[in-house]
Amino acid sequence: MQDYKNLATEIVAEFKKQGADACDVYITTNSQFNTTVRLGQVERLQQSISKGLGMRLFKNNATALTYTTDFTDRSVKSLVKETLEIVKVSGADKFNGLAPKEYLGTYEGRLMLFDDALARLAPERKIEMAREAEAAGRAFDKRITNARGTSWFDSTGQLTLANSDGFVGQYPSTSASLSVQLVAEENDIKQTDGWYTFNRYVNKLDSAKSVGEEAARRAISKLGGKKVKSQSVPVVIDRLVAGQLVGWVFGAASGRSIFRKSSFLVDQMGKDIASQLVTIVDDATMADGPGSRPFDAEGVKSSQVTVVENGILKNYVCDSYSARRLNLRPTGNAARSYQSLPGVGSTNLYIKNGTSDPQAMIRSVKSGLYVTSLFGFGFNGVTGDVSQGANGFWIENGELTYPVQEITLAGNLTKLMKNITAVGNDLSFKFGSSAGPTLLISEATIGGA
Amino acid sequence: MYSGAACQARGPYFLKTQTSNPFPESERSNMQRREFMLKSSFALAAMATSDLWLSRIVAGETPSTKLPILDTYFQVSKAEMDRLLAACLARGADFADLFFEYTVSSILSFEEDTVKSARRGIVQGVGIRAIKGDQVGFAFSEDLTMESMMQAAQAAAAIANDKNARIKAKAIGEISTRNLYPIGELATTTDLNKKLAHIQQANTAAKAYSPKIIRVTCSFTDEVKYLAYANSDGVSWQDMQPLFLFGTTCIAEDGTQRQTGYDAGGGRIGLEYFAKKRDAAAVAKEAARLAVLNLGAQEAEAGPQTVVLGNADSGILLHEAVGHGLEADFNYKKLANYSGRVGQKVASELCTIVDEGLFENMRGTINVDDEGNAPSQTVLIENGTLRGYMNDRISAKQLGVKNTGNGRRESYNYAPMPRMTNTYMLAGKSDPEEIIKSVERGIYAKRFSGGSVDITKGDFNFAVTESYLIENGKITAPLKGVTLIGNGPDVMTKVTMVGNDLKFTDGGWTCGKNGQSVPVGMGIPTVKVSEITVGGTKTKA
Repeated sequence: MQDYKNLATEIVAEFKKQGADACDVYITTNSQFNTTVRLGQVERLQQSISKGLGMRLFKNNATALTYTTDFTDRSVKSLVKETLEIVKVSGADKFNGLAPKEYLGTYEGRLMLFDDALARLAPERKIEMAREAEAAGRAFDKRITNARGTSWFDSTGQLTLANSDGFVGQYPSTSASLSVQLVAEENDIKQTDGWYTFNRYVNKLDSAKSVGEEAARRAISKLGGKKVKSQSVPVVIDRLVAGQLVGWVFGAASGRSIFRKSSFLVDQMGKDIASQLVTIVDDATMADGPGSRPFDAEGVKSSQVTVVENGILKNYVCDSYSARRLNLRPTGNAARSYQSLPGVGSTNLYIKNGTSDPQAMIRSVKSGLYVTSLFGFGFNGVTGDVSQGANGFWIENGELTYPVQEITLAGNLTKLMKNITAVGNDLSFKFGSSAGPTLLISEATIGGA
Repeated sequence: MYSGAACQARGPYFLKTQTSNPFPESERSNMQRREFMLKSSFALAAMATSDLWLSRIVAGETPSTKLPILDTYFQVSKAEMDRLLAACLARGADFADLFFEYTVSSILSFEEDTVKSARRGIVQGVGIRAIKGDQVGFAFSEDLTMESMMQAAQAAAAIANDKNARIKAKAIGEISTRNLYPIGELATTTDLNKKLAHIQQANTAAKAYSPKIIRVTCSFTDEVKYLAYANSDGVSWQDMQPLFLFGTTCIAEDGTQRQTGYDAGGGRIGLEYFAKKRDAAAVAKEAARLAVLNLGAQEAEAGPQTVVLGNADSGILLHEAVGHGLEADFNYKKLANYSGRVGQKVASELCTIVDEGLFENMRGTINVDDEGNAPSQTVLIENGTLRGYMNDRISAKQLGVKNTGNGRRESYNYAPMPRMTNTYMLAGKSDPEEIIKSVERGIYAKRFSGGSVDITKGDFNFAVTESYLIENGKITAPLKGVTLIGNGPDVMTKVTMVGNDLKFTDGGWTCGKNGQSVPVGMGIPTVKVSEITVGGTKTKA
């Protein structure tokens, strides 16, 4: 893969020469391999290398961005000119600018972003793993009657960032994933579900067989699903769903949402927004974390930020613009693609482990819902109102009984977070870079029959 | 389906363009494999009014002018395309195609009475595909040098593993397409100050709507795609696809309570949209109205209720409950709940549902699909009976049916698959007011932010952004935080009244499927559904 440090610094120099007050250049390259196997046959085989370059300019406190996939000299030069042209339509905003110099830097600790072994893995082996996973799932139970596809995906990427304050940073990263999607059938009713494994390191992936079998188990477990009556009950939140809830809280704590007043966490700094059992952290410096990185999209050195501590809102998460707006410090949470201006994004975001045993949490519920997924678009970050589709299992006298489907779960996120009465000890980043342990919420409203 | 930036059901904070996390954030939600649609302030919009019926007929007669796109943007000769196609077929594939794209995009973001940022970008590349049966090899290249393109062709060819080619590509001949998106003033190349004037008009109108409006954000998002295509059947075409969206988001405040409202308009049309369809102030006022309205909204009751769906935006019901399940890839693989049910009754007799990419200037309209086939008027459900699916090349061959011209892709980065264009339900006979009057107690749902569906079981949901209580045949209090959930085939049999007021959306709807987003349109008359489960926070007393 080409090294684009020189290209980035050359563009920065060219901008300075042409009269920019400040600028940065963000370049990503990515080499991907992607295959899908269905019913034993390779359905799709995809291989590509992609790249993109974005240049951001500040002039007279106004900002503009241009981007391209064409890195030729001619294309880059014409974009530099174009950026200087379109910035004229932008208005001055004194909060615009690069991240303050004192925050720039590269985290030097161990992050484990790149796996050499991935490059040595032959395409044939990747296809074989997909075949193996699907076969294990299909052989698991005769009620598995069809498959939606088993996909292997891997990517090797490199990110380069240079700015006019002298920051030049670069890091390579790898990732690989294997996901299986199966169909289970019984009494003419079909259900689909799946399972996956992902990691930056190939040898840390779960075995193909275990992924396929878990997918089968999940699809089968949904057979016989039914609605329950509308009611308010205690709910146990599966780890997969906990990651979603913490993502909502993070979004509402984003400096960009706060200064726009489009968040239910406006004016809540230092106040109780969750049960005291809840501590939420975003940590870009975790060794082996799926969201780790040495610096953010503005070159701010990675660190750890506590968003909520024992239920109290401690920090808004900021890129440099929102930090200046709110008179706070940038938290290293700037995120962007080559096509976009920096916004706020999470890295390794999690609810800290509590002390409860997840099984004991289920046993403590006389009658309630174990929620395995929340879906749809019914979360309003301005008010915190949640009204989402839900799947799960009914809990009766402390035991999981039948699968529950076609219902909704509703409440206000602050109330739901305050109603957390137990936090599990089973936090894992195996499911995504936003994570949480099993949670027990004393009351939420179910919409059903 | 969505009209926003989210790409799978990832939650409202996911921006499609942000890739801070190198892992596909979709892994978790991919497990749900929910096809979806969402509306938000980041997307490009659909436009439609009932007069489009007329426009379509007129548009059908207009031949497109031959555009020198291939020469202007790609500088690839026919001989070179022949060599690339031959390379794709070299290992025994039975079909190959080349999709060249050069896209110019522009975004103006306006907030606090000023342009906060101006953005402009150019993305170019070629997507190269080889097919053997229903197996697909695919690669793309952003470098349009013969060397890079040849590498991509060879990578795609590897889906087949014979020693020799089985077929030869036919000589390339260009097909002529209709021009369904005549443009007055192309948004992407126009003077930025002209766009700014519309934005300022909107900003002023939103602020003037109510003193409760504390924040106004406007965005002007547009693109033009220059496309050139050739395949081994000898078909080639060129197309210029414009698309724009003008959107306004308002935040309203009342005491300590805050609410948000959003509206947008646009389509495959130029700046003349504002004079012909709706001016920017009208879009902004609608956003302000929704924000203020929701300040006074009350909590909804959870549980099954009679729901009246307003016309236009409620087309989301068709998209989720029916549309995705009728995309033929799911059906030849027997994955959808509608698989093998052509000829059977799958909905109330009042329902006739059509997909049609032919409406002039509409967001889901295409002159030609991304495999070189003309879009068509496809009757999906006729008086409640399932008539057929939406097909692309592979699914039509697998099912042995006519290709309906629904093969679409997001960009050169992806291979095409069956997708919706503009999906709508034909008007019925009922007076919309009579429909409301017929409901003793229920919900009137008018506008939505997004929805999704599990096509295997058919369970769908959508999030409502404007709804009201119906009491004794009258629309009363606005409701907040409503989600509707149901099973597609079940809900479609519960359609008990269909209004005579078919209308198409003017919002920005984008549909997501297997990680690819495409713009779509939709339309529906006022419809009464005897029972849908409502997600609310109140339980029945």
